[in-house]
Amino acid sequence: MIQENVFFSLAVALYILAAIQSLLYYKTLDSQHDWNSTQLLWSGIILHFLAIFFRWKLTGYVPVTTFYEMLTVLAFCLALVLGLARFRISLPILNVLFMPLILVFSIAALVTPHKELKPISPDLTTPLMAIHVLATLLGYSYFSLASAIGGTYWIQERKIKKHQVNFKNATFPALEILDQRTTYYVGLGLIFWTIGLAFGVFQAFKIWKDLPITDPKVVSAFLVWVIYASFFVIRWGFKVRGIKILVLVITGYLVALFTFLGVRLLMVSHHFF
Amino acid sequence: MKFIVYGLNHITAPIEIREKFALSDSDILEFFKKIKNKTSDIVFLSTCNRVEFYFLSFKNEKEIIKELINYLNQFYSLKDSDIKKYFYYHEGEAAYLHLFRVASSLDSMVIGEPQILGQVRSAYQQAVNANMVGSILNNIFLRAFVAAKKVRTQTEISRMPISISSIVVDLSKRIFSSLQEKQVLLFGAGEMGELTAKYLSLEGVKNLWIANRTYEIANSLAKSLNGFPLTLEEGLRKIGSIDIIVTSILNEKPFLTLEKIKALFLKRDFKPLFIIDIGVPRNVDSMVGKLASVYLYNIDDLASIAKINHGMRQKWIVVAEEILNLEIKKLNVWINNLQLVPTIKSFFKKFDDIRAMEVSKFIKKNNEFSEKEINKIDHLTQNIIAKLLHSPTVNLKTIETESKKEKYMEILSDIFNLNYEIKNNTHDEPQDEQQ
Repeated sequence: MIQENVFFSLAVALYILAAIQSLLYYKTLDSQHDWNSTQLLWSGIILHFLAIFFRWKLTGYVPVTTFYEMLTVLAFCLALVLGLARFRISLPILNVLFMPLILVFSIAALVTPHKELKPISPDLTTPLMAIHVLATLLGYSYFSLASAIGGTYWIQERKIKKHQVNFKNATFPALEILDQRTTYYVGLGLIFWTIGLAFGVFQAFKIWKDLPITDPKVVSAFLVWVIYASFFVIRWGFKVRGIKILVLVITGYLVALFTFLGVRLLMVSHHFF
Repeated sequence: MKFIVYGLNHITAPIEIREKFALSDSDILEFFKKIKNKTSDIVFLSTCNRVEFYFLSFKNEKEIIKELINYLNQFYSLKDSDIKKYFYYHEGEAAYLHLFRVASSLDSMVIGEPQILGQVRSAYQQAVNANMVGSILNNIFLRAFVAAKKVRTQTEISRMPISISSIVVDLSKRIFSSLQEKQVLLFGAGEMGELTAKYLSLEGVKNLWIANRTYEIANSLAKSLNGFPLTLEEGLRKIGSIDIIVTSILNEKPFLTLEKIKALFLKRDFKPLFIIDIGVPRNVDSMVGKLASVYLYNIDDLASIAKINHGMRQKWIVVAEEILNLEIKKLNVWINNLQLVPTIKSFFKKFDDIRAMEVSKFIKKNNEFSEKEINKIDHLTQNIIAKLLHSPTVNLKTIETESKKEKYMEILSDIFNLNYEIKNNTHDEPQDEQQ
């Protein structure tokens, strides 16, 4: 437990430093700050992974069964997808947009009581349940990434349209690249989300012998799936691109956020978190 | 030792003079052979905008410059008045600053243009290959490259296009991932349109269509730009598959109307369309710019970006100059410490001679020491001397002002009677440094 806490606290500290460096980059446009930010992010990811690993060793099952565990693994997934994305797209502003999200979830995890290990239903500790949770968390992380890149597209597009180009948005990639990357990450998100839902449905039938279709979390999760699936229908079927289709990406992300946090905080659900 | 720059550039000399000194590689190698007996540290930079010699002089700069002028006279007979009018001479800090500004593109005709750094590197490499660069000149140039890199990465000077054509290319790159596969259509054969198309061509655009009222004009322009000629009507029909349109047609009313573009737009699958209207009166209805995925810029829009970028560049120049000043300060510290080397060497030598003499006397008096013990005594006394002299040496190096440093060097020389040794070492120093 001590090792987990130490590693997790250090990871959060590194995430904070990475966020500060990304803000400094945005202020000064010195690429050294962006480099520092990404290095700190990766250092944080490694320590964060170790924290999760020690928790895993302590519990004996994949630690995605409590609200605390969900928050810390979600923060980890977000950091990981950002770290991986930075290898594929030169977009320093992603760190500026994304680090606050990672910080919100990791600091929320840090302040959530988690030290005591309570007895838990064996149904929640199966590998299938772990796949269900991990896949949906990864799906959500990729949707967040797609939204951040989509948001950048939005800013860049408006600036070019209104003839307000300046050196700050000169650091953004071309609209076409942002459009392609948004679609790519929505696709990855949808794959993970679909796996998550499929395993969730399977688990529901196994535990409850039925699918609770009126459960707000289930309804909300399926709504997210419908929104992102329709994104591809409109994108590929009707060839629509640009701002018009970005509305779907952002809406899908907000509904996914509500699925994770809104339902737990505002409604009653069969889900623990 | 002095670092000197001598030459002319686009500000001091007209193209008619500069072009006379556009020398070939073999000319430059021949020049190096001739100048070697005057200086063995020289870099010759020759571009379309400048002809410059960077060299080290050991109180013989007049001879070197005379030799340079003699050499240049082979290509163009320079009168005394020409030399006074066109050539400039900088030494010491002013020369460092000049080199750093040249490498960082602050002294270029188009400030921020990236080619100059490559040209300075090539000139330096050419001199290195000809064994004309010793360690001091090498260090000065390497520091100039570091400074230039800092200016490029820490400022936005090179990212601020200010000509209309380069702004169009910059905007195109903000919209499209790659320009190579894009379809570009130029309406009209005006000078500005042609220049813009040429810039896009240089960026790798392969599919360039030129539409004009007179097909023959379109055809001849297409040949010169490696494009395809079209009549005006053919051009209008082609818009559905085009990514970038440049229009510069003399027309009283806009010929690209909202209805026309809208009708063609359905075929485009919402792909982005970048329209550059440089015609006066305007060729494109301003309402076209309201359509989704259409980016319309007219000549005034481009001119206002150019104005903003120009202002931004001026601000970044101030930042760049600060970076260069900081780098020159570092170079000065290095150069100044280099001047201390003879004094410090003599200082150490004086102490070591006394130590060696006393140790030798002591060993002769006391015959009982083995070779191993003698080595130990030698080692111990050397360590004592090194430790005793460490602190004064470091303090000497950290003195900031040059005059104070010189004063301390003089005092040190007087107290320890180092003059004889310094003279000898000073004579050797440039050769030592160059090895």
